[in-house]
Amino acid sequence: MDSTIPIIIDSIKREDVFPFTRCFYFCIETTTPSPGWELSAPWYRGPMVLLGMSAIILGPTGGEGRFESPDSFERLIDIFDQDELDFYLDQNALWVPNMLLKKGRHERGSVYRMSLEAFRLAYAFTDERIEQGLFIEKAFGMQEAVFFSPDETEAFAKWDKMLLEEIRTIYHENRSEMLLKKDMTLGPGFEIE
Amino acid sequence: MSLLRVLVLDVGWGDCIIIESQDSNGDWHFGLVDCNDTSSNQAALNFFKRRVRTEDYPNIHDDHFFKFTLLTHDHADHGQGLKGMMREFGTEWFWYPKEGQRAVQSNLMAYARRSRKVQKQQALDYTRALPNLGDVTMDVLWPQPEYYDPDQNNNSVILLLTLHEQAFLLTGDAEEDAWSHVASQIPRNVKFFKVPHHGSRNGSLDGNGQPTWLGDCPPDAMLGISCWARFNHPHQEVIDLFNNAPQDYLRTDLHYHLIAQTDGISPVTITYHR
Repeated sequence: MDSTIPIIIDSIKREDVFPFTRCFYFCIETTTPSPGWELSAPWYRGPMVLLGMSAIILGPTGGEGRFESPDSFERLIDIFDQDELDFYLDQNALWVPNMLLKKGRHERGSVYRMSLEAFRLAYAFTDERIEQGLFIEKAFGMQEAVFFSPDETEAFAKWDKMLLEEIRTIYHENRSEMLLKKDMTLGPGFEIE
Repeated sequence: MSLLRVLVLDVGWGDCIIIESQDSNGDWHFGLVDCNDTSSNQAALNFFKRRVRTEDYPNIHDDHFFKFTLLTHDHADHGQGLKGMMREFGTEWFWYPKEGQRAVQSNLMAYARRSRKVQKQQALDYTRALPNLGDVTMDVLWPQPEYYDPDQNNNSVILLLTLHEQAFLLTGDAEEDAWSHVASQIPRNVKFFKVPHHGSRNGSLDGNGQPTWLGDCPPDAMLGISCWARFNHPHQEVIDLFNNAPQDYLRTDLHYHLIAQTDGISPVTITYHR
């Protein structure tokens, strides 16, 4: 099992005073008591009810190590984003120094993976528990702890494209319920696109 | 009597804005613009759950409490908390900018596609006619169709809310390029103006340090800045600019939740919860 954490680039800041990239990661959020889970940890193994727990996603369901196909992202949604469940698939931001993302494709939408040690540090910074200077200083020793994941980048982009096509289809099948278009040339009045 | 109330919540970094509208029949209507809640900080969700109880809004049991939920642009500090809000309250519409390379937005669109908590989703540009929110009319001033800037901030949906003779303008994180198209269209009856991009330099100044929208903003408008000092927001140059401008301003890092309210005719009231 791959124990690195997938992160996706959201926004890159290039200011000298703040050379960081905002990424996001997927996690499962539980907001109401949720039965049927089992915790396996060095200090405990057994059934439990989850409540207010955030579980960070390391990989796709089914035991595959990485998100190497669009379907692997789609299955996450299928499984975790059902209205009747007590949990859902959420996403949270994480600030990562630009210097840790230089190897690879440092651009929006790229997927990288980072070690738990590097993630902990980035999380502490994002959560305002360590200062920027200390984070940068420690990051110098973590150049190998963050790496580009080209296959997952491609899979994420393909999933997004599939998603857009599906939503466009839904739009065209339900056009009569969608927002009308203003008639920009004839003044007041609307027309259907 | 109709009423429009805009709540710019203090959510640390990022934005969360709630719109409350009471129509002339006394019925309430709600909108949500952006949300930056995270796993460890669900400030907006907790605030609004308490508010709907204390205000005793009758719509609380509606399956789709919000008439609309708008992601102004695809950045995590505007969108990462939206799913939690939509899941809790439900929304009739989920709106977002039309074009672009998506990131956080993908997960939200995927959710909206399947969940019964979201009735419909649609991309916006300024050609779209929005429904009213009670007696409040809503207009998209930006983006224009087919526009896409790799800088997502410039793709921000700029939303104008008008009740009778007064208007509020919500600006996302729009920067210089967007303002070069939109600034001249800022209506003269705007009484509350959400400062773009948290008071950053590029939200209010062009590359030469000249103001991009301030000269077109009515002098009696109140400026509201959603900001957090950690990212140098608001920028000192922007604060210097505002200090020498006729408009007054409030900032969420100093004044916490900002609330602008109008009946569309009487003077707008601006309060903050410190």
